Amino acid sequence: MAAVTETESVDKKIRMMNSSSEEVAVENPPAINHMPEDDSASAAIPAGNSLSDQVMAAAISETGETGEGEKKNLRLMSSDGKEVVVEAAVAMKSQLIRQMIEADCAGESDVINIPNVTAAVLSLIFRYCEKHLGDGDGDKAIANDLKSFDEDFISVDLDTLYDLLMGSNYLDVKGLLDLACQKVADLIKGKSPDEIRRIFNIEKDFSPEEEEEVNKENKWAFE
Amino acid sequence: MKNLIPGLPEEIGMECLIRVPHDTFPLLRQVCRRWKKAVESPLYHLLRRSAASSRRLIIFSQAHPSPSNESSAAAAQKHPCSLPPFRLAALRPTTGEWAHLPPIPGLSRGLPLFSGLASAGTNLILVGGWDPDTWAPSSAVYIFSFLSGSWRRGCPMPGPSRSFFACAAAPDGQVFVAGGHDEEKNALRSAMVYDVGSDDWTVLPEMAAERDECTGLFDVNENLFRVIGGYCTSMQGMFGESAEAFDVGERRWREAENAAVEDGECARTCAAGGDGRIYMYGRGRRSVVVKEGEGWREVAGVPENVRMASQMVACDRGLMIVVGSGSAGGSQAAYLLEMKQGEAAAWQRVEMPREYSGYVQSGCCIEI
Repeated sequence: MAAVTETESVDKKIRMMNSSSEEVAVENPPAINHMPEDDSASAAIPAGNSLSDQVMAAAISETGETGEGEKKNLRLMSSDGKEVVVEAAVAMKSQLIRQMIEADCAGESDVINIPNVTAAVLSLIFRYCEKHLGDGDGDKAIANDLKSFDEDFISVDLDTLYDLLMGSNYLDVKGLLDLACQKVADLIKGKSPDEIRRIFNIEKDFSPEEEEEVNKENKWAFE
Repeated sequence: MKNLIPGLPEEIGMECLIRVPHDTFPLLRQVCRRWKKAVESPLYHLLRRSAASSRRLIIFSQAHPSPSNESSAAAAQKHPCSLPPFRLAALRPTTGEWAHLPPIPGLSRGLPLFSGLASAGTNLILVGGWDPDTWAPSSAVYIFSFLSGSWRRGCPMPGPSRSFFACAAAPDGQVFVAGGHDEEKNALRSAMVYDVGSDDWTVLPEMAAERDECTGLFDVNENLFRVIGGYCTSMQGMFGESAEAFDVGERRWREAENAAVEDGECARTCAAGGDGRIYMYGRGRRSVVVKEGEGWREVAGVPENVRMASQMVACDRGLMIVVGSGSAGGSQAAYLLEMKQGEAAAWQRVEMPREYSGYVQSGCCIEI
């Protein structure tokens, strides 16, 4: 498990990265906010009343039956001590959170601890999750729209990209991890070895002979 | 401790590196020792396949297309005995994209003609063939490594020169050669194997029968080098229907089996499907057939314009490609056939852009 390095300016970076120039602080995707919210009582809560049961009930129950979405929210405590509230269906795109819910690990206060990811990065990750809620629907138009979203979403500075890699790895959000890894691969291709070392802070540890050998192999000329 | 990508856990670093396109392998090798070691490791390529980042390529030995303003008669007048130069082309079957591989340095007239072509791991191996100018048989071995993006020479084939032999490679880098004919046109029964890793040849026991112009396949399921068809010295050009198989584990040839080729067909189009079964043209070249028990079952009809002078290359996961023409000397066409659970889906025409429209001599599949 990796430690996520926290930087003071993550918030600022996310604001800068957001290409539609909406401030993250202001932008409030419907599923995410930073204020605690009462668990709304639903008309048909099953007998068990634990967080797990409530979430499962919300997941199973049909939205639109009564004209209201019965959306269950989850409360998460980030590594930097902030509470993040997120719609359960969105959060459960994280296999880690899903397993915690299913194993009823929420604890008495119904707040889930995420000691490895900051609030800002959590918000980002959940923004991806919400967009990908309908994954697997197979609709081509939606797939194209998602592709476009993904391209924009992952066009971030390297620090944020690393945060997303670590965060999606820890939370186990496979689609996002794949997207982020592919982005790193895309950054590598087409560059010179020097540029790559510079970007990724890699020490050149070839001896002059080794370097010459590799270059020679890459350009074999007989005689 | 230095990680592959500083600041990221090793597994994540690896997940990033395995997603580069294959033509970036040479670049990875130049960054640092850890990256070089990583891209050369078997684990790298295993992970790459699991992540569906690897790509299948069909490699063809293909003639330069003739200049469009020259009729073939005029071309023949100019060079009565010479063929256009051959080079390696790579087709990505899922996207229809074509590319050329770098030429072999020093061979200004292109690849040797009728050489054995096989793939093993991240390497392509070219064995023997005829000098394009003199038609003299060559014993040279050339290896193209996708890791370095370049060619190197391998240890030449020992013994008397050999033409029109069977050649097939096992995934671990053993390249098998058997049969063919020597300088006096005697059909051969001798066999040998080249090891890409140790760059050396080992002579194998002889086959039961002389086999000139036989076809070689590697059966990964049974670990057998199959040699199919061919003819003995006294039966010039009359292709036999038997086959024999070299058991790699036991280091001996199994008994020849008859009816290894569909009635009267030439074994040239035989291909080993990823499912371990043998496919070839049958029914008078009108169908693709698969070997089932003693007989052959029809799988799909062959489009008319690929029935002559054809090559069939079979890949993993039920993919097959055929290249050929509709008439002698006619233009080349190519089709893709996808098999699902032993049943054929439809043929899909593969466009051959002008630069990649020349005659195809041989082909193999590689996944990198």
